[in-house]
Amino acid sequence: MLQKREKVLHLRTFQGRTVRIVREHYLRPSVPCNSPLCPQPARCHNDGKLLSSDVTHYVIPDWKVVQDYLEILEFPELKGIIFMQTACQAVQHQRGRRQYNKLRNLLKDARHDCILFANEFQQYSYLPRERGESMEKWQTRSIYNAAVWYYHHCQDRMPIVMVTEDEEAIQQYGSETEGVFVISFKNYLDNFWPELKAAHELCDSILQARRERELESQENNGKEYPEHLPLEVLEAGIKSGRYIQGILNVNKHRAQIEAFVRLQGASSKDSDLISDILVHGMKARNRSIHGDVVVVELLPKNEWKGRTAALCENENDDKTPGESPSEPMPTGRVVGILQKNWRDYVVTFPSKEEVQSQGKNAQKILVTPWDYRIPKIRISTQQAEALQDFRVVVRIDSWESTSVYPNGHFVRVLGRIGDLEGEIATILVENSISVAPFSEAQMCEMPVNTPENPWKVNPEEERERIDLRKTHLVFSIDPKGCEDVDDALSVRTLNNGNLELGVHIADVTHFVTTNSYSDIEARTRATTYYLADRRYDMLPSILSADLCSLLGGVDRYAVSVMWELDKNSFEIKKVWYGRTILQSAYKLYYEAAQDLLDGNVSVVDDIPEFREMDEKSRRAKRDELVWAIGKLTDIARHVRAKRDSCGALELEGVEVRVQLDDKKNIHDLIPKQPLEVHETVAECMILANHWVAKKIWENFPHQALLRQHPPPHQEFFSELRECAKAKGFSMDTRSNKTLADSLDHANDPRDPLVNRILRSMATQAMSNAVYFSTGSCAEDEFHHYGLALDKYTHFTSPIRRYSDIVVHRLLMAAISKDNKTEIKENLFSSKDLEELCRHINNRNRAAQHAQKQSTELFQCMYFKDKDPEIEERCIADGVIYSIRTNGVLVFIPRFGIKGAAYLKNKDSLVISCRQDGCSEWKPGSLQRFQNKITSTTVGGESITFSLFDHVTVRISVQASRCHADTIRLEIIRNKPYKISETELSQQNSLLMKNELVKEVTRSVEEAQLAQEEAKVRIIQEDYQEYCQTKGTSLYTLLEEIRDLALLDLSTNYGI
Amino acid sequence: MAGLELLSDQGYRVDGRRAGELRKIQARMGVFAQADGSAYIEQGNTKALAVVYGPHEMRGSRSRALPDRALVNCQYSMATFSTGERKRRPHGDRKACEMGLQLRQTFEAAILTQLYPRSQIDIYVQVLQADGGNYAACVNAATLAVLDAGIPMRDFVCACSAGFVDGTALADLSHVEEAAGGPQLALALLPASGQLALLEMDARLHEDHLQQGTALSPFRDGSFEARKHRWAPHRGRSTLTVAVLIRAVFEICMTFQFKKYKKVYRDLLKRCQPLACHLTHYYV
Repeated sequence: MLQKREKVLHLRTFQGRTVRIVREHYLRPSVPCNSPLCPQPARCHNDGKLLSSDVTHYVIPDWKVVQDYLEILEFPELKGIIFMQTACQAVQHQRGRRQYNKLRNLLKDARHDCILFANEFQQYSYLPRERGESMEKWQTRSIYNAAVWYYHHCQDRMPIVMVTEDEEAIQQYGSETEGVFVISFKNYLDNFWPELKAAHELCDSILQARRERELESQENNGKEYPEHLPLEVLEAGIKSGRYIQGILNVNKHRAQIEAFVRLQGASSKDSDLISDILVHGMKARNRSIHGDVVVVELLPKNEWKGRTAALCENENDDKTPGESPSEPMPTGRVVGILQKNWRDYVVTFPSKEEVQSQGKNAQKILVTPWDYRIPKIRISTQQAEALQDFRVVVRIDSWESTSVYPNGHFVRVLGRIGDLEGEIATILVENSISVAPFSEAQMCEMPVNTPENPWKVNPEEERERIDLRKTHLVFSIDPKGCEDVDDALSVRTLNNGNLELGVHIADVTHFVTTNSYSDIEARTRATTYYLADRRYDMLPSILSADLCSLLGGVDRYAVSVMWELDKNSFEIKKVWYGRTILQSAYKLYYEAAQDLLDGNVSVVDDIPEFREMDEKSRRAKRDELVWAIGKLTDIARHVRAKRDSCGALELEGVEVRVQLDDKKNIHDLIPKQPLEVHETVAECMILANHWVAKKIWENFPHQALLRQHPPPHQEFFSELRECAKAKGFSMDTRSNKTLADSLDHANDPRDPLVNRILRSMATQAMSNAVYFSTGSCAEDEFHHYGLALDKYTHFTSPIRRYSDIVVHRLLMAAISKDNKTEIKENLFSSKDLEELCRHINNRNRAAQHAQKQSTELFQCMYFKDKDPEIEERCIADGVIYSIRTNGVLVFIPRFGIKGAAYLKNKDSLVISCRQDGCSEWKPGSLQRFQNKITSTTVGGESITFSLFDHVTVRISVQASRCHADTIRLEIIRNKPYKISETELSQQNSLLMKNELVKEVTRSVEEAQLAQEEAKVRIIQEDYQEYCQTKGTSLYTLLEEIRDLALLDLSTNYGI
Repeated sequence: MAGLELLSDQGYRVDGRRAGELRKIQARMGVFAQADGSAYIEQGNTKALAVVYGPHEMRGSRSRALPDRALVNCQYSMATFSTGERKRRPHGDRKACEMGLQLRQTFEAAILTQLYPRSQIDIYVQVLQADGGNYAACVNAATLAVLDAGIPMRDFVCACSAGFVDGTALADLSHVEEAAGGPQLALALLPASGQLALLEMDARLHEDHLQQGTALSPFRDGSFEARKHRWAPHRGRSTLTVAVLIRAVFEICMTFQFKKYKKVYRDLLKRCQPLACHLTHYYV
């Protein structure tokens, strides 16, 4: 039975008048308490997330604590947290939507042990606000009252700790009820979590940041930035077209000066602006940070500026070089921020000398973010000196209009600068990738497969699935050493003479049920992250490398697509989708499959499955396999030809690359001559993806997840056309077909690199392929430009992409449409799916960035120790692929490095070449043309570099303390670099690459080993000196503890 | 105010109700002695007063008299103190006129007007406090007043409003929820026959939200089936939002304790178990 109460509110209207409003407030006898100790769970309707039962106490944070220390409450170590509704509302009203959404997500997160108790709707825990009582007092009082009620509700079995910042409340309530303790937050952390170092540090830094803020607001005088306009004004302005809304993108190379606002959806429609809007200078940027959704106002035309095209080093060059910028573009200034997109930033503290130069206020320190695009952040901390050599995570708290830099606080330490693990952690944090090991709850859901307790096929599943184990020859082709085999193929002749082609994909959704812990975790990760030397799996390895992986010789569940093809024309006659059970006969790798295809049968000895057989059956089996691969290739050729006729593109780095990606190799290193099997497998996958896309779209026209690749803007192709013209090729970019054709023709027989560079330029001109929900856009936008297909999705790699898992669920729902309604209810609605697509696209982008950055990291580490003057390996052959006003961009095929080489150095000397081709610096000037650049010295000598010229470059590393190291290139000769040995290594550039990664990893390991050895030696000496016994003595124990206490830097550095 | 959360993640509305729950209803009949019939109703904080005169002879111009039935004359007004900010005029503005017209349509459908040719029935409704669902409160008050006056009706009329937030239908909107500007439906029903006297929606709502067909399928076999094309805007698909409304209306009926409808309601509830399961039924 509901009880009605009334609440009287005094609100202020927009006109400034006060209005008295009476609102109803309904109370009920039972609201969900979500405690496992609840005596009447049925009455409480505890059907959601429950608190775990293994806690020693429940903790109830006061409203102020929730507002200020939410980050600490987010620690997974803190368990049994009850958020009171009163506290949540205080956050919502006073801290805004961002903070509140963080709290909501925390509550929804199944992995985090916290719940919300709706105390204000509970008959007995609700307290009306008394007359004259302040809001703050009332909130604390109701939270305490609710805590007491909760304690009694659990029949006094679980002590409750209420943490508050209010001294009076501690005085007043501290000893009022037995079992309900009221203490301060600091006190709570000290007493209950003394070992949780990170939380303590975070708490200190939050406290300090807050104190600073208060201080600052008092001495608030000269303003550095104009105030932001209020939200209503912004919204009205956007509607009327006076302001423009967009996402701020800071130019990485000129972070201090240039930023661009990319227009968003609606606002770009009615205005005639097509390009981005330039925001010039920090003042005009008005405290917005890279990635924020901002509102800009256009400046009058006479104040418009152009972008600079000169190369620029990443130092803080505030002075713009004398170059005349390009023609003016729309320029604006930020008047407000709609959505702040602050995340965790990795920063570096200034070195000792710099600290001193920063002077008087030693408490406040300006730290430099790793990402160039983020402004320096002001931190107040006592540990500055101790943290000097470390990469550190900070968070931005606020950016007042009075302050030049934003204020932030210190969160945690990642690792030493220059240390491999530390740098990798940096890359992960910068891309917001969190790869904590899989939780226990998640591992509990996993099926078991141990030698003692092997996993078996469930007879019930056996009945429901089509059994292919006896009837089909199924095999997989993957890169060597691949563990997660998500696809297998089969082909056979049917009784009527037609062919049957089958693509079999691991049935991941059988093991990962909707909304299970592993599903939620996989959704957050969205993809498996491949870095240069390691990978972070989306699913636990028991699934990804074992039970879902279609390994040879074991029974596995699969989802299959099978086509019946005409025996001659290969036309598709029928298609069938369904769940199957199969046993892969062979796990082949690409090279072996190619050898079999070429008729080179000696490779059979390398395939483990053949070893056991006797000679006769081996031959029969081998012929069967060779026939299958051959047939497969025929079909793939045919399908490919059909797609080609519609204009499919073969590009570096678009879809095809993703298909080949499981090889763990680095993406800008595509083997020069991909084997035909690569293409065969890829083509089969594309075919399967295409047909699945058709099926799910037909069944769920509004909520299917597909992948689109929008056609590119023609103007982006102008650079490609120019470059091709320089080499004498013409590019027709009107459609994907003409582009594909002209790319095929643009082949220089003397230099295969030309074609490759042109292709990569074409790729850069295009937009990325993205996932989307079919409910969110019109059907004619579904087209996939690169593959020339009207519908496309990702279906074939559910082990490493979450999108494929969603597609699998859709397909399952589509084929079981008649009988099972509950499957359909589990599907996402169009709106949710759209949200999910955005998330997956985001994560994919992060994964790509992380991969690229880690590759660069390894390149730098590789070249770091080498002396560029002596070491022969640092000199390589490069191709010029782009011209800038003061330099050229060079691609080094041998290492797959792209970088800038300057033709004008810091002292304004330009490059010139002697007779033998060696370069030297002389005074002079540069002149840039469309596709060449000429440097003329004062003496009148001149040298010209044009596109696609081969030059010899020296590779060196430019070390940077605060940012990632960068590769520097220097042109040392204007002739190609040719030695026979280089040629050799050029041939197997792929090998070279992997070697590079291996060597860096090895040297890091060696260094660690050496360190450990040194330590062991010291310990040995100590043994002798102090006559200690060997084994786990107290000493080693203490030593270990010291190692573990990595974070406690103060002890190490004696501050 | 960073946008009130109309429906929290835990399923509570701003005032503590759950999505399908109604506000507290209290009603009284026969509040005025001099009128033929009168009633006062409170639905939450929405308070309305209805007075009925008639049937009596035509007042004013006799030419308006209808030869075969009685003329129903409705006037809707809002007290100047009924809203947060004081109103200038209690009646006569466009909104009030339209509301009067809607009331008139509703009651012409319900009253057996053919029994009183060439005469007139006056219904005056005044909202004393407006806190959402004004139309519904007025209809309910007027029904009670007509009953009080002893005018024969086909069936009494009962009304309720519903809104739509984040994919969930909310019954009986309060002022805060109305002001948020989502789509809103008002329904007046003749409960015994299941006929609709009025269904009005004054915003756009995506078809998909109305078409969650399974939710109302129990109604398909009953009397609702025959007339579904009248009230479901999209080719006879039953609607979730409407389902919530109908249930809400029946709950209101029950508060008036008309015994005869108890059975109808129970039957309906039984047939739409999936809908009713999470609801507590105070009135049955």
